[in-house]
Amino acid sequence: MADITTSHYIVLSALIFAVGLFGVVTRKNTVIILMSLELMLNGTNLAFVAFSRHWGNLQGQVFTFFVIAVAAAEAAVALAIIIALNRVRKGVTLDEATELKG
Amino acid sequence: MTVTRRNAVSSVLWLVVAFLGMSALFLGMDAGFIGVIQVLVYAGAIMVLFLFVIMLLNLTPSGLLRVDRPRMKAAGLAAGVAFVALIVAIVTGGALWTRGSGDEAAILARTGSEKLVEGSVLDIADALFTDHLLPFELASVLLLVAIIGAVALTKRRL
Repeated sequence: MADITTSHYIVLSALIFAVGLFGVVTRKNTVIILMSLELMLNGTNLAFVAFSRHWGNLQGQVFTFFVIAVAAAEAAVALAIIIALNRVRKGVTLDEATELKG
Repeated sequence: MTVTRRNAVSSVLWLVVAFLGMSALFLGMDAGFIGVIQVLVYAGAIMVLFLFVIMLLNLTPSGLLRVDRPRMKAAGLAAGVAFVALIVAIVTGGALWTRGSGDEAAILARTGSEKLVEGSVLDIADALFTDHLLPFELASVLLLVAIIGAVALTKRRL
């Protein structure tokens, strides 16, 4: 463990964030876009916990807790929207949801 | 893997693998509470929610991946540029925090405390209910609003 420094964690977190970003911009399926968003949030969580450990400070972990809570709420609401969208448009791709009026 | 699978169900299962690995990293950083919460909330609750919705909607595997190659390449380029920008930001801003390495002795010497910060349930609860009481309560209200919103959105007729 001694060889793994904070920089490694931060680079890994940036990599996970970039992979999530790639998923968000390339996929059409809203469900998978949502999953990629969760991946991006997780990348930032990793950075928070790494810095929290680096500075011997608990604030980062507390903030990660809040990020997880908000991500859970966001996932619930977004999946509800996807279900409602599927009922109206009979599909879950983003291109079909170009207007707000139902 | 999560972003490349054509089938949404296998995508979710790869996401579970990613979250479990992340949880192992948290545990390795002495953040026990966050690691356990990660498994419970992500690998448990959110994944069940995703699987449920995918099976409810009966997604077909075909056509999930965007077919036009130029846009795909452009998007990959954008993500790569973002990654490089993040790395550059890390390296340039690194002077602020890369003093010393990340091993235990260096952290202890830098922070001046006698033990590493431990994300145990006790420590997190202590911080949550003293310094962060208002955000904590707001998070509970947010979760309540999310529940009500999800029910209201999926209900056919209110």
